[in-house]
Amino acid sequence: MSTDARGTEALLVEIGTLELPARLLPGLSQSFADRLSAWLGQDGWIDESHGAATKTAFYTPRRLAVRISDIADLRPGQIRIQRGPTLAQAFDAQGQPQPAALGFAKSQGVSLEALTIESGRLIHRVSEPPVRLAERLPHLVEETLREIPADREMRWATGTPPFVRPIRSVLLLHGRTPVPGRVYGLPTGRFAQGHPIHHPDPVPINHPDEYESTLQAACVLLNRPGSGMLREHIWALIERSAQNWNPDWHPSRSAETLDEVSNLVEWPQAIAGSFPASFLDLPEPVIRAVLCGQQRVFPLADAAEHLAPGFVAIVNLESTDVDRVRAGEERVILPRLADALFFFEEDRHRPLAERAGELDGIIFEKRLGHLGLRRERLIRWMTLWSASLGLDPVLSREAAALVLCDLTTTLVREFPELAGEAGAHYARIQGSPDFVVQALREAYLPKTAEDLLPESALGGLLSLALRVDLLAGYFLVGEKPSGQRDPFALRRAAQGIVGILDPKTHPAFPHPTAGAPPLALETLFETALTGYLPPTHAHATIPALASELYDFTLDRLRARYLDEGGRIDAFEAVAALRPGTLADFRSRLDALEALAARPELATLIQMMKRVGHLLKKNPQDAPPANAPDTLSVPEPAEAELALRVADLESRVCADVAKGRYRPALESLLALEAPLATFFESVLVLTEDPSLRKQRLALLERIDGLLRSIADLERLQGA
Amino acid sequence: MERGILCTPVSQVNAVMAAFQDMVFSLNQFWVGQGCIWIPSYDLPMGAATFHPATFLRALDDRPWAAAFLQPCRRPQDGRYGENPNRGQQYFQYQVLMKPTPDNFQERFLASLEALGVNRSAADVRFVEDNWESPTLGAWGLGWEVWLDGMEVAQFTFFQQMGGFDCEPVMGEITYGLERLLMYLSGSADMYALAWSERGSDPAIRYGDLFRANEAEMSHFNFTFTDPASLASRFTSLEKEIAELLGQGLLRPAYGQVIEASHIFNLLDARHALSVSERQRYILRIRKLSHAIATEYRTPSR
Repeated sequence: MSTDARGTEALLVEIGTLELPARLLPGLSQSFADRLSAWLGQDGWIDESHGAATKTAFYTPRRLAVRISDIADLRPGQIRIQRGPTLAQAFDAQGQPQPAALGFAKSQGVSLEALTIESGRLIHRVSEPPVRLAERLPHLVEETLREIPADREMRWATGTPPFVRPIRSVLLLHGRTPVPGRVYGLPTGRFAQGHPIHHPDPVPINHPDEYESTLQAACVLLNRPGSGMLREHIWALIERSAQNWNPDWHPSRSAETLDEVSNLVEWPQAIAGSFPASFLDLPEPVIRAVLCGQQRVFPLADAAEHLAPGFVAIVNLESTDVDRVRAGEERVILPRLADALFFFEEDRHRPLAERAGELDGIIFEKRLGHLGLRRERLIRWMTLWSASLGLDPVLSREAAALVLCDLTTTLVREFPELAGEAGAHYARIQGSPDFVVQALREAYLPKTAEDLLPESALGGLLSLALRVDLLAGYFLVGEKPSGQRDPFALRRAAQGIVGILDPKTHPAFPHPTAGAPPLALETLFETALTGYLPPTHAHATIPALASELYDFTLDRLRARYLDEGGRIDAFEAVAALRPGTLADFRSRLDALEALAARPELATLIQMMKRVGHLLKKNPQDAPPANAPDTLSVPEPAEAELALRVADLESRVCADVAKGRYRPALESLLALEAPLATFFESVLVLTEDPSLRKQRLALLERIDGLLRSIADLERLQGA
Repeated sequence: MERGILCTPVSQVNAVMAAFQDMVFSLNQFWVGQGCIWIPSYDLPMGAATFHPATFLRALDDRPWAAAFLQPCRRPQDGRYGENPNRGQQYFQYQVLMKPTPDNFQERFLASLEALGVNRSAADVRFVEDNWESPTLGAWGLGWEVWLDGMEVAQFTFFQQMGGFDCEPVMGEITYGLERLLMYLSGSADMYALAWSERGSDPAIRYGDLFRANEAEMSHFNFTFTDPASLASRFTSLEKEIAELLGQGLLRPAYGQVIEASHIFNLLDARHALSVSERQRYILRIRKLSHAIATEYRTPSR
């Protein structure tokens, strides 16, 4: 092992804890690694003479760890310069020291005589002796732990600072040498925590590079934030276990459960089990909610993707009695399924529609009233908006009237994630039309960014109405998300709106019917906002809030467009026009994308900037006339351009009105040549005031044309 | 050889506990061996052992405290007329309190499972995040639920606040759910079939022999025969009495009334007599009362 004068070696730090919360683990691990390496860098311990240091974060439920390369053992002595006040501030005319000088000396802990004067200031040269890593590292580790943000920190012992969960051991290893010291009151050393059953004794680590292999020998598999390594290992175990249990079955993946489970174990082992097939009468989402949500096991499915009466559990040890563990898991799952079946049976006897009255007793949001009111609003909006899509108003009304009713069922009270699914099942049993049943099932889709969108138009509209009403309400009471704070998941709600209304992801929706007003985003919000206020109470803030909600939703479209690899300038050029519907927004973007590479476009944009400049410098008194001004005799290039503009105005307007943005933009590109000739041969700001007015008016019309599809000026050029 | 006279071979000292009373005896013996004192359960109906003054009041002062006790608990809403093998309106908690909390509290808990016969090389024991909160007691803590082969058998909590006050030093609490634990230990799927005692009686007494009739009758009472109107007025008069008692410096009787008020709230809840907002208001009323008790208990003159 080569070491230079500073004794550069890899550093390993492990904080052994009691079980950390699974949901926080990856984030905790990353911020521990980031912050510790930042501290070490700032404090002068990272030797970058061999290139940038590498850092690797590790975690298991019982540890956070990081390995950082190129950490020096010795920080050479240095002179640190502390700048004090200027001489003018420090001394009066008689040379007497002033409070600024005395204060500075005091803050440095020295007498005035110890200070020197350099470039007109008092200076304190602090000579720092060489420092060994052991003198600083424990302190830096403790500071890092204190700094890590956590939603709730635990106090467990008097005199020990709080942390997410109690800290039990601290490993500090520099190369082959343990770094002695104390962190959180615990002596540091080279020992890591092993597996509580298979390797209960502390595990000595010889060198940071041997960390993973040594722990694996002690039955601990390390996870790394964002790596998915352990997750895939566990999935392979599950697949094998399912195969051995019943060759006709395979596990059904639940990404959320897999993530959670991989943060709950150090030595994962898979054990398959069964439950009575009679429970398969339960709706599949209910079985999934019990197995994945409550019990964190993985459902099995047959070749036709129907659930099978089996599961695979992940445990944290190689049990000496696998059958007993299996029996234990089965014994827990059975009553949970029995409970779910009990709730399901209880609820089905009471028609959904009859439950509507109970919604008055459930608070939606304390300033926004109860769910009964939300239901009334949903009925109004669904009736109103279904017309735009040519949907049956009676079915739309029924779907709106039923959608909240399952919130009063015991099944949904027990399994909140089944809202929608549960209602759909009860509605089907109770004879609601298929369209309504499907809409209820789809009412809360998409639940996440990756989730499926509603397939039916009625389901899409219902999901849209729930979200628009939700956003309008929370914005009305000032609960807008800011920074990391979004407790009501409003961003996700807006993301769903974009998913449903964006023809790119959801081509089935909407199909505006001829003649009906389209579902314009801002209008949707404006309507929804009025639903919260008494009709007599026309609220002045509604247009402003609706516009804010439009922007908020557009932020989600922007993120999605950039994810697709779209250009931010194209997006902003379209957004500047505030198109009413997302379909219109997309058509405009498509036109820009299709023609972005055309060289005329770049030239046109350049000239547009010139036009804009001229118009800005020479504001017109009167709006430009629609017909070419015939008072003055135009020059040939001017006449040619005027003819083109007149022609384009009628064609482009017609195309834009029909949403045919690509041909419209094509037509506009034809302006490039005559406009170039015009600028070459015609002086716009001529002495003749009427000619000048006429030319500026022409340019103003061109400017208008060039902004009819998007604000082309915002494009960065080709 | 007569029945009832058992000669236990040495190798079976840690045999799996199969009877309820033996499990309680073992826990008593184990935790007394860890320095806890054994104390009696509290004689008022309560939803959880956290309401026992040995928990609620003792968590509020700065004196060391280590105690263990069995506490019958009642959750009227969980009544199933004695027909559900997993749920009942009465169940038993075994409560362990240690303040300050020993460094090896978790190891001691694991050792207690071994003392009950849990084979740790065979059983999958897991500590899964579970942050406890009691809105009525103005209390919260951080900790875990403990899974034994997927069954939650205990809760492990470090109290952070009680009655709205920071706990300092921090009191650690272990709450065993005894029915579930014994179901795990004996491999039974029916709480009423659990053996209560297997020694000295023939035939053996089962859990159901002692409590099934009680479950059925209490479920009828809780769900049908309580009178919401008189419960609500009793609650209101309890509030007044508590204020008067506190005015007289009679802290402990006042706290007893708070426990009773909390139980009345649970009875009202079981009748579905409270709307969501009313329910919230009741919770806040009890929280106010428990905060008043905590404030009085912490007053230096006491």
